[in-house]
Amino acid sequence: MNLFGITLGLSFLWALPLVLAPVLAFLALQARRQRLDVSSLLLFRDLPRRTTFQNLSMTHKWHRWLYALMFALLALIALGLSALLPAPKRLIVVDTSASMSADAGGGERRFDRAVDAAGREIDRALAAGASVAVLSLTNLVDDVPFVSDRIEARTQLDALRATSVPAPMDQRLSALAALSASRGVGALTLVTDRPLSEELNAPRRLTWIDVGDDVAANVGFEAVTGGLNLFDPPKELSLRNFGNEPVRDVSVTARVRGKPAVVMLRRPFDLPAGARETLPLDTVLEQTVQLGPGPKEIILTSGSGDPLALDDSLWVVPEVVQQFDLHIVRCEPNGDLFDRFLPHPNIRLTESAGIDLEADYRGYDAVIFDRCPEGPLFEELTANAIVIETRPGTGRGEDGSGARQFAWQASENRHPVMEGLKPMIGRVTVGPSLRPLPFTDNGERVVPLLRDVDPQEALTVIAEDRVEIVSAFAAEREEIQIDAETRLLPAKMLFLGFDPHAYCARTMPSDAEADNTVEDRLDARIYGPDDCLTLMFMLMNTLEWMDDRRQRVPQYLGAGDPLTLDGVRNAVVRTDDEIVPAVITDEQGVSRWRLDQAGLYTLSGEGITQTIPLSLALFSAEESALSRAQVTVLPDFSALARGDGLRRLTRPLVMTLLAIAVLEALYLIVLAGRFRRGVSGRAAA
Amino acid sequence: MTATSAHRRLDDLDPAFLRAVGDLSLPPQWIPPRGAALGPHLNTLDGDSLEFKQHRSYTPGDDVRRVDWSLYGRSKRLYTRLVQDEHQPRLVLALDTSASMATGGWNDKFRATIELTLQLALIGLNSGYAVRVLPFGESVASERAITVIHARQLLGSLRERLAGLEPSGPTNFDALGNASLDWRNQGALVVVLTDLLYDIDDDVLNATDAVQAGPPLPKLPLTATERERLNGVRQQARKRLMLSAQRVARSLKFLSHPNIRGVLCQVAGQQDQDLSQARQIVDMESGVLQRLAFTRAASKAYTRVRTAHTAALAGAARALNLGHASFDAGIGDDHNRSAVQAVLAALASQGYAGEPAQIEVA
Repeated sequence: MNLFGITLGLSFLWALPLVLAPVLAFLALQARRQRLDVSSLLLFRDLPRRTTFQNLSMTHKWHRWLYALMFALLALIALGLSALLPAPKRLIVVDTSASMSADAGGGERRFDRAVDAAGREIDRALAAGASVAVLSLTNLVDDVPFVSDRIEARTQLDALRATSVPAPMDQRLSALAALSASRGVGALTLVTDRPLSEELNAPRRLTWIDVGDDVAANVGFEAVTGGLNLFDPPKELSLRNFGNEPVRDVSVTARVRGKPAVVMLRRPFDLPAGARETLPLDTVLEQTVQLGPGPKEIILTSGSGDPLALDDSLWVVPEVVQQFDLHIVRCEPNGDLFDRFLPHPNIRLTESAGIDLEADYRGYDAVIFDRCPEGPLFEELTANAIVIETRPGTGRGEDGSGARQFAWQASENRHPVMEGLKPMIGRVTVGPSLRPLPFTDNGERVVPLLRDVDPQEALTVIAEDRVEIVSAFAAEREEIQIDAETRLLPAKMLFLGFDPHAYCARTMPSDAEADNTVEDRLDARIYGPDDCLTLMFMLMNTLEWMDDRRQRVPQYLGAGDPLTLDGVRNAVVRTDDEIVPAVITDEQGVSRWRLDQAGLYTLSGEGITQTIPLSLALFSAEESALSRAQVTVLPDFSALARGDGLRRLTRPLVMTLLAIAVLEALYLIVLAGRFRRGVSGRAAA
Repeated sequence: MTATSAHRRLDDLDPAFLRAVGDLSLPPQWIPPRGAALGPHLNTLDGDSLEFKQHRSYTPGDDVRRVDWSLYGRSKRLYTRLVQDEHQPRLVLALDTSASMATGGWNDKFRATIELTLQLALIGLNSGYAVRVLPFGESVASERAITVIHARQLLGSLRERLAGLEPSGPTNFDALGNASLDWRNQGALVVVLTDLLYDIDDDVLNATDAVQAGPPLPKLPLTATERERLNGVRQQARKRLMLSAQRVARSLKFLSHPNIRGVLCQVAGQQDQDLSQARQIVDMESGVLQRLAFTRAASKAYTRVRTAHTAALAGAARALNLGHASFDAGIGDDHNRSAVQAVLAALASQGYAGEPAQIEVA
């Protein structure tokens, strides 16, 4: 919290009740003086009337003592307790992201320069009597101690290494602000290789040291702009020439980490000094899907072919590790969702148009019944199936249009298919074509299906367990022996009671154009790229679930999620250059890790046939909502989640409290004056 | 509040309350003085009993039904038979039921006043008086009057009727005056149990001319102590208290009748005395609200004003040749005995029960 330029951290919260105490005591005293019925005002008319501060008058001695005590406390707060407080804390953060490994000229890496600059900062801070802690920008942990000793501080600094981990600056800065507030940090220093962008919401009292300011051509990813919330523009990757010379023929390509194949995301272009170029995030994601499985990275290349920076460039794409036979029964065109992950190098796809009731799908790893009028029932499955239902039947209007509510709460469901996905609730159109979300009638509220789900709403709807709500569910069946001759093989089913393609489609069939316009498609309140991603992830998760041959290793984790490798013994999780120690290892050799940092990890160990790349989601749980997040019930989710609403509230509140405290102090002076007059009056008498 | 629960209010009344004053009595057989001013009413009043008093020669105008015909048979002369006047003295307990009596709730001042009423009623019955309890507020409804004949009623019907009273509305002493014709004719001891507060607006206070334009206000004879107490408060308060007492005196003037012996019993509740926690005060009868800060100084000033108010009312009572007693609810644990004694003393002395010091006229 910033007030008059002073950063007030959470550690100052103890002061708030103290400031509040006189006010509360005053209110309590006020409350004790009750309104009183009297026989007649006759006897009161000529008594002294109430004046501005008369209500503060203290009739009892202990009131006076109480006030004196509280004013003394206020005075102590006002003095800041400077003598008693520990030395001011200074947090020095060094950028260790991928771009820091790049050349800075003179044979030096940018990271080396950063370490030098940070060392100078440490010396300066210690000389000023502060205690310092040195942190890595890519790993803002909360447990680095503040030290006042130079050697210890240097040890903290020397422990840092340049990594290949991205560090989206806006996201890191907000994390930094939160960290510094929670640890009561007085001042912050960030050593990085780029100038401070004016668009970034930097914390106050941040000293920004740019070690790349003399690098002529310093192109890098600046930020991921846009957001997932209502009215936010779509997400974009913004890259910028931070240097002071133009860079020619910059190309943006993507590749799977450690593999040679690349795909070009943007044709070569020139980037003048200070100029910015943006790439729509969903386009980037779409294109990287072509690369097949594995975590992706984006490379900026100048005309000379040198990679310039490797920042902010790790993306998560679901993958199917082994060969997988998938059959799609298409009953309607425009299966846009499938185009997001198909063709896939490991998915062998066959298709058929329209459902054939006699067909036997045994032998396929999975069958998708895409919006077929009479999809198979769970009991009839002969193979694993994803059944996408567009006409759930009841609830439809006479004219075939209409809407049904749809709810699924991933966090509550706990089924592997839905694990890690954000909760959904809303209304789904049912009909032959894609339609926008219906408008409300009878005072009902239309909740967009995926965007900005209010957790309270989700909980309420789920708790009601209403039959008219279209559900999405996953179910698993053991082998069933029907009679002596017939038996049904085990099968898994994902049932989607709505059309998931709607959330990925940018084009519409002509017959639906009348009520589903291009504007609707672009309306972030209705459809968003992350909704499409969520559904895509779910389908991919489902395919993995149905693929029994697959190694059961969770590969997509939200940052901070614990990682447990069940059935894998003596596993090792490592990054490029170090082994991540396990938090717990039990007697069977099964370990558990907590990976706080997004990045690429590799797994090995007994029971794992090959080294498996493990991606942590690029988006933090807070930013993306793609990873599993606790459902928290808040009165105004959108305002409070972002903190803006809270800030709007706290600042006037604190100002009011301070004003009251000043008034009380003034009154104390007046009271002291009165008291002195009274004493002198008595003395004179 | 339902009638049932209202009537339960006095169920916990301790008969010890009544026993505590059982030995006290009113002045014996006080008979209202008669005189020519009473006019023809007296003839009819006289001689309704069966007890013979004397004979008198018949004079024209005498009721022929009273002629003693048997004596005429013996003496052939007309005599009028006079019988003893069977006069039963009357005790009227006028109970103020205005809203101001409910300060601090029903159980504070009003209940204490009712208990005092019951005690006085008992003493009246013991002393051979016909007791009549007359609740009054804005007006006096004769059907609300309760006649007490037997001591059993005190804890029976009278208690029930009194428990059902709900104080409301303003006080109107003039209404009480309208109901007093009866007492003037037959004579009565009248005890007015009220808080005797009569508010004076700031406008009235400042516009002295307007006050003088009305009927002249009685002058108040005050003792030296009373005058000193009045002088002890601020000038504005003093003026207001005097005006208020004069207004009360004017309204209660009907009590200064030869046939009436009256006592003004000024009642104060506990809440009227302890105001240290008051932030806003509200006049119950007018609803006017005033914000006050009850500092210690204000509390002292208020106590002084109260004393001065009592002094001014005592003067007003003296001007009307009435008794004056003040009664503080909840003070003392002698079951009101001292308060009852003060009322009886004021009745007996037919005047101010306080010190008979030098009296000046304001």
